[in-house]
Amino acid sequence: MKKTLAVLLALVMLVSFAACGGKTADAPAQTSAAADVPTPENPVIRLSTTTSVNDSGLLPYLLPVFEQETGYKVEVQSAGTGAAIQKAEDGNADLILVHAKASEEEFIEKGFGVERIPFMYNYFVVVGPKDDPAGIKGSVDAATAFGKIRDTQNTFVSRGDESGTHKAELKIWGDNAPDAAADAWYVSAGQGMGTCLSMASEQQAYCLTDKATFLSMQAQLDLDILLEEGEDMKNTYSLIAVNPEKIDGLNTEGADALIDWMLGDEASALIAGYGVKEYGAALFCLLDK
Amino acid sequence: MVELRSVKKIYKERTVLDVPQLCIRDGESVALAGANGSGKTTLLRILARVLRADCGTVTAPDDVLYLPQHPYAFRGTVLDNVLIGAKEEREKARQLLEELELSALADKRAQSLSGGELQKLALCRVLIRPCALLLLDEPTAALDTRGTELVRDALARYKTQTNCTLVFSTHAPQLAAKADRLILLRDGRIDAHGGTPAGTQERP
Amino acid sequence: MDSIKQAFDLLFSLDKELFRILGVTLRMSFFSTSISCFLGLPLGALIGTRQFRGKSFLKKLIHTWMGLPPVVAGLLVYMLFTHYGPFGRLNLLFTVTAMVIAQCVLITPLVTGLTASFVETASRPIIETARGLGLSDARIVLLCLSEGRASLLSVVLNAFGRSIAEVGAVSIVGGNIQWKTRVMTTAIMLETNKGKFSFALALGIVLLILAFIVNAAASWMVKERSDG
Repeated sequence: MKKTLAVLLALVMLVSFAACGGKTADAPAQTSAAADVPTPENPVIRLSTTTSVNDSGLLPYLLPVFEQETGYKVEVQSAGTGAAIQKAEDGNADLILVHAKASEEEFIEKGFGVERIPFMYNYFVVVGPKDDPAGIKGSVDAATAFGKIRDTQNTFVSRGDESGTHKAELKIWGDNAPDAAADAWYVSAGQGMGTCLSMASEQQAYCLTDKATFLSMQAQLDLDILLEEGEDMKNTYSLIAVNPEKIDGLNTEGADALIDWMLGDEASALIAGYGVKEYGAALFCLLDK
Repeated sequence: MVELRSVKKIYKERTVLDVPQLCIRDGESVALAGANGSGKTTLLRILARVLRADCGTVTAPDDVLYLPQHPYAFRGTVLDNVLIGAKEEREKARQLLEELELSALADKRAQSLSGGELQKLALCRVLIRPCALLLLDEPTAALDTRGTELVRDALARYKTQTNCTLVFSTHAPQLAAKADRLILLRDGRIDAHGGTPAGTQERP
Repeated sequence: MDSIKQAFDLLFSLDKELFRILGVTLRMSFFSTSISCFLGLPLGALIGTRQFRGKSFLKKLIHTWMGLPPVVAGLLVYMLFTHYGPFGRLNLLFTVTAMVIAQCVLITPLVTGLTASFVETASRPIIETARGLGLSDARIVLLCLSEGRASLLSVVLNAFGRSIAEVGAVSIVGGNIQWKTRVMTTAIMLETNKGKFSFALALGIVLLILAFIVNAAASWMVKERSDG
């Protein structure tokens, strides 16, 4: 017993030494970089965003550049759109980056947001089994494709979590929205995008997804993109700073600095180039200003 | 007849019992004495077949009753407990409880008894049934003088009624004095055989 | 406070979906608790009473397994039942059956370990006393079960508690599908992700009430038997 404990302790110590070693090696690099960078009074910016933005890898690609230049530190919290907005309303975020127009407008109406700044977009895509049993390929738009899925009763996995993607899906269904209680082919999963895609692959089902998440997971999935760039599949992302008149203790200066930077030329160039190398096409397009 | 040959019990590299040979005649009454940890309990548990010896042979009758040092009080009343091994013997149970001055407690929950009361109850539970070999591990450890006398008398009565072989461990001289023979254990070995209970002065 | 009121409003509104979720939750917990106990209680009793080589190693293994993160148990079962997995043909993924299997992987070691340590410590004087009275082996086993029923009940309730409160394994193999595999915990997780925090908390309170009712009923049953 004592021996086992000793071995365990030794292991723990080794691991912690290794961890410390890593940190000390990094530290000088950080300080030297910070030397010619301004130090803001309140350096921490809390950004609340949706899982799909975070999962696409865009933020880990952009933010280090911003942090290097400005000396700010951005803490990204990712959750479903509903939770992302709720966190901001609870005073736990300085700004939000989401893609659900109706919820965003409600957020501003309630006085929590200052201004909705749409700045980039991409397209949702409909993915499904490679042999496309419902024959949705070549449909004019997603609504037509969904109609075919409904007619053939092919399994369809819905996010079902009131996320931006789920809301976009419901909008496409319109009045024809299936009833999860009655229609066995309509699977309301209540999970994140990645999980839903795995489930769709398992069950050889159709699914509406943002392109970035799908591309990043494509290797593990037995699914193909069957429909893209339909007019009803546009997905617009917006930035909203939280209103300092409604909530105190915010880092409004930092939020504004981040928004300005995201709208600037450097970030625009970075966003336009994101994904070109890995997937052959940009994952996000900039909105005309 | 009870017989042990080359019996050893080793626990975590310590020899707790080492008996080359021991014979106990039918009907004999033997007291085991010795300091704590000298092997009394181990010897009794091996005879009771609760514990298996590491080597050697043990011959003992099948019809054995054994009272451990820390007996367990089962759920239910004191009377239920006495009857647990002999459902039909209500009369006898009442009588035994009377003899050990437990009658007033007959309908109390056994698990609410004090240590001494429990020890007397446990003895009643054993004595309700006849047997060929009776093994008792410090049956009076938790008892006062009065209790010890009651147990001594009850044992004497049981002995004459059943003519069983009796082996018990004890630190009480008045109990050891009743035995035909006293065996002193020291560090797991038999230290001295007494033909008479003369060795009682040799208290641990 | 708002959540507590909401919890009771929910219960008394007889919301169809809520009762479906409660039904699935109880069905899952009942089966995973029963199967885990069916396997774990005898196994634990066996380990607790027998002496054999490698016993302490086996016990360490069980105790390690008891600390298995639910997500890992879920992943294991997922890999087994995935479309191209060894049991993919059974089509069990995203069903309550798969959730029960994953929970059994998680809970059986818990039941085994707790039973073994209970049997090892608590039942030793029972066995020694009963054997000393010349009782039969079958009678001794029955006595151990009846004397230790409070402890064994707490083992069973522990298993039930783990089952009903578990979210990691269940969401991976069940998929949190509305009307089908959604249980209280995954529903709470979903509402949390939606940002409906107070509603999620209300669901949590409903879950607590459910757990309390089951616990109270179980201890009442045991008490009833001992009095009668």
